[in-house]
Amino acid sequence: MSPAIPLLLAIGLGLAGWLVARARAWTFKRAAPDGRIAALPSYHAWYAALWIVVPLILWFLIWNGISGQLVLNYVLASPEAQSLPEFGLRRDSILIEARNIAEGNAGLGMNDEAAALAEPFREAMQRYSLIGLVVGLLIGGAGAAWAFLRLKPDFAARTKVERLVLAGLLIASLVAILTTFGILVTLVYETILFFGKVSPADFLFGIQWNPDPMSTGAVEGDRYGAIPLFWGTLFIGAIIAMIVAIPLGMMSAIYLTQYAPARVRSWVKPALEILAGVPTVVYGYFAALTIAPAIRDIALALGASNPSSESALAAGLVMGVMIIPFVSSMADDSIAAVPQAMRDGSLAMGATTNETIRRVLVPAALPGIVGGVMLAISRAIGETMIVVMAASTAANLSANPLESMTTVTVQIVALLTGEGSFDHPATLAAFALGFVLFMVTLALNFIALRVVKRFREAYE
Amino acid sequence: MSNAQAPTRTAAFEARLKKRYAAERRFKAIGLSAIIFSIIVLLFLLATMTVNGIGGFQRAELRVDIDFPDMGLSLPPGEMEFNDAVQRLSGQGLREVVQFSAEQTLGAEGAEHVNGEAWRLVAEEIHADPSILQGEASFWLPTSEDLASAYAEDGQLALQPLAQDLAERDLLADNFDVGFLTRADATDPQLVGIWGALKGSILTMFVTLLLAFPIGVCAALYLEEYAPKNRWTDIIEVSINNLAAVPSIIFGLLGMAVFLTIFPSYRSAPLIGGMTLALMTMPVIVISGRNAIKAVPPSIRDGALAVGASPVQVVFHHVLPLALPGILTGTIIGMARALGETAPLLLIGMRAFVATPPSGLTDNATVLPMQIFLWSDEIDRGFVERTSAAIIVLLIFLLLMNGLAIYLRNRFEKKW
Amino acid sequence: MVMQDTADTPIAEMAQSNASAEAIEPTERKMRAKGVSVYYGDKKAIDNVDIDVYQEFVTAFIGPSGCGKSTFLRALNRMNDTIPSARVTGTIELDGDDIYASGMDVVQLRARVGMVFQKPNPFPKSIYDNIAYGPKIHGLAEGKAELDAIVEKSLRRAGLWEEVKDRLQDSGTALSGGQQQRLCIARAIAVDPEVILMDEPCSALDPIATAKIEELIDDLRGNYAIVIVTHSMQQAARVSQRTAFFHLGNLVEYGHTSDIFTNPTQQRTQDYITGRYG
Repeated sequence: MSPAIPLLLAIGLGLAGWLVARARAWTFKRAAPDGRIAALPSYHAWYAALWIVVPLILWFLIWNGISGQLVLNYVLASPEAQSLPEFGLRRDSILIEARNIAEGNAGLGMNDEAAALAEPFREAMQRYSLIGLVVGLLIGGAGAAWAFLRLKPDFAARTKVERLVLAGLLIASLVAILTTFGILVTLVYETILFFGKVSPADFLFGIQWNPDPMSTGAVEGDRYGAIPLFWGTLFIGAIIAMIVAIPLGMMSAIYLTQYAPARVRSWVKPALEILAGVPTVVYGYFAALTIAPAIRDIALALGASNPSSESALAAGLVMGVMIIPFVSSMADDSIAAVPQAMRDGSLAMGATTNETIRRVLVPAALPGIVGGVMLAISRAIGETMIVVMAASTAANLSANPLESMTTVTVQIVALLTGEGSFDHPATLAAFALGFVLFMVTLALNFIALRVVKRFREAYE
Repeated sequence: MSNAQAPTRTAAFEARLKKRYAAERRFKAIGLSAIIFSIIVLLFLLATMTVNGIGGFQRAELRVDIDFPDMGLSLPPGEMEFNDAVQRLSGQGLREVVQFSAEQTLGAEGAEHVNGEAWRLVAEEIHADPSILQGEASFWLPTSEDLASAYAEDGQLALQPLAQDLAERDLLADNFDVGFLTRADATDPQLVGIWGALKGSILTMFVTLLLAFPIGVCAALYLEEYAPKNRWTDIIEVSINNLAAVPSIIFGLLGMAVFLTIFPSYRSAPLIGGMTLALMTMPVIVISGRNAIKAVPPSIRDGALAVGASPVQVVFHHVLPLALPGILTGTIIGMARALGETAPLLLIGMRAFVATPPSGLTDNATVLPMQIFLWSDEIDRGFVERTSAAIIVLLIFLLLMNGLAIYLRNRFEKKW
Repeated sequence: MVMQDTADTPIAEMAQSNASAEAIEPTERKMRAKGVSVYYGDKKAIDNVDIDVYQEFVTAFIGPSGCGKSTFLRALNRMNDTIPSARVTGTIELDGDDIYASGMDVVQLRARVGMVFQKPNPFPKSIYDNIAYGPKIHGLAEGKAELDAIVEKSLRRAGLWEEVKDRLQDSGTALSGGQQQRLCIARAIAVDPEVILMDEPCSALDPIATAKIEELIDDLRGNYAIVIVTHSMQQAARVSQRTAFFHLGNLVEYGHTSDIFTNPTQQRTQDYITGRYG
């Protein structure tokens, strides 16, 4: 059944209910001695419409969830299904194909069984969508009846409607909690499964990272030492990238806020915003195609032996450039939050602009700047595409920026886009890495946001 | 008077002053160079992409003259489905006709390098205008991958003289490739297009917007206007602020573990991609929405309350309309971010090879940034240019969205 | 000087009881403004003002809010330079040198003409570092001992030493409002300026703190030329020797404080000090 049908049904019934209820409210209003009723007719209308539409949509959502299984049961009970292979891929693919044929998405397929099964599928789908529609109509009718029985001249329809609106708003705001909760539960669950196979100590303190997604049999814990990944992540995201981003971002912000004429600012700020809006996949491509070979060539020319073409330096530098606008806007905000009186006070004593900036404004803005840098680090270590495209997948514990290194995010992608099955330790390791990444960025963000908030309050 | 020994009027003071001014100039110069460096990097990036990308909008094509009446092809007039027409023409030997005519025009060596799928292009044109079957017509048809790279003075050296020769005879040229914007992914860089990925992006963004915007606005309204100050509200706030800063790949893990478990058959469908990105975009909308709502002065609420409006009416009749431009600005920026996002979609499997544009929310699809990522893995020179061209298209979309956001901000921003 | 009950005492009497108000004749002219106008963009905020500021005198600028007195004060040490649209015409001289001339260095000028602001604005640093800031940037102290001495001397002169000597490393922002303002005055005198400009230094303070600041101004008068902008006529009458009355960007009247408050020559001055407007 196309999702458009229940949607149209819900809208149609709702509209009908809305119109009828409004007409009814108008008759109340005309009949009322002073021409007044407890709520405007439109609220009566909304009350009825909501009572029709909400249950209807809930019903169709539920039905959509369970009817697939019902259809399948029906098909499996049919005589044509008796010839299906017992289990395995082939059985599944036949069923999927049969469904596709029945839905008209595919012509005749590869399996003859599928063609035979298409008929029962079609029957089952027709049957269950009819049931769904009929029940849906009944539910909509029941909702309508309930609503219409309550419409009276003195019925406070507005309060009821508003209460429902508020409930809707509350539910919307709970989605955020649900998401956070979902992330935590998913990551914790998979991580616990992973730690059932590889000990946490091996994972957190081991220095060999060499998982084999295709391996079978005994799990080798010593292949899952994540220290080289943590080091690569920190080296690229928190060291190389920050060496680029912090000075450039800070100085850009200082120049823009303290020195640049308004006209320059009005051009440069949007340009920096563009730099911030470039998708990371573009930076990654830029790093892999242009920067990484250039760095390797330069390193070769300078006499480095065997520099990697997937060097940590290339990924880190480009990531740093990506973070510049972020650091710049955080520093900009923080410096702007320092009251003008501080600046005036310093200038009035005969300080030059740079003395004022370095000795008064930056120290005063420091908490905000530090918070901004922490957010920037959290962004850099969670950044995926640049490192996936420009850094390596080979784990390497080294302090030489010209060597190839890998990061947590690279490994998550590598492990989850490979061929490993869902309960293989290599797959689970990706979730454990994700859990570590989540906790670290969560801590950074949490502290940073607190610091920034307290800093803002200090000057308000 | 004390002036004589005033420390601020000594020669030493003035000497120090010179140094201080030098420091000032240095500092200013450092600031300026930081800005200039950032701008140069931006320009360098854009220039690299443009230079490479211009080639991506073109492809090497060979001219083939076909004399149709000679070949005895016919297409019955009247309405006909494209697939039927192709089938029918193929049945009449169009493929061989094209091959034969190519040999006539280009010589045997050149004809070998007419792209194997080129005859479909001819069929397409015949379908669009059957009257060309009445006479002679010349077509620009894509070359093989090898000849294209030889023409670009790359690839096989042995082919370069042939390419040069054909080019001198005006039989080989780089032509603007309109089809790049209308085709989908392919294995041959001569035949790829971005419409498939672009459509996937559009469908995905549609789902994202449909979910994230209403939820985001409602949550922002609740938190800003109605939420009591208690621990629950604090938890909601903290989780929204943190979600806005959580690495996007984490959302991919969530989408993979939750959405793909619930809908296993919709792997790499825009529906799942859109849902995953919606979770990521929603906090951005909430935060910008709250700022916009906060900016509506309390006097407006007081005024409405004073004439007897209920709190819900105050918000929906007065606060929301006034805050809407700000909310929309934030939404567009959040959507632009989602449009450029790749990492979470990588995990939920939107990296499929999609040769036909998706026609619905549950079809296999890929998105524009993912297409860029997939092409960037190809070593062929043709793909390098195509990748840059796709990047240009993506950047144009993002620029338009950001431009719209900036326009909205400037047009409707009110100083209360 | 003793704080009087200002509510009952007529200002004129107060001005006369301020013994120093007319008795001494000025010894040295420190600053002189001639034909000074200040513009913000196209708007003229100050129109053609002539004023002399004398060494060892307190000069008060009074007038209703928005009359331009603060704007004029900020022109005296070129703090208006920090506002891009501000423009000053006419001449302002410090010891006979035009401060807007190209040879005048604005950093040196501001070191010589210190300023105290309306709201106390200590830097978010320790008390010690607040005072040491000026001497440090100007390189006025050689070594820690000399710096310590400057800090102690400045705090003593600002009458703050006894209150803070045990907690010099505490943050300057942790002090009370009145203490913060005296800290700012100490900070200004630490670089040994010749003129101190005060922009309504007491408007954010309670009466007791105000009394202390006024006492301090009177103490400091001996070593500096002081210019104070004030909202309160009583304050002007209590602390100043010369008073200038500004109205709508014009200097209406300038003279001995006692004259301004006892027999002003201009009707507008008369109206203002008797409370007809303002």
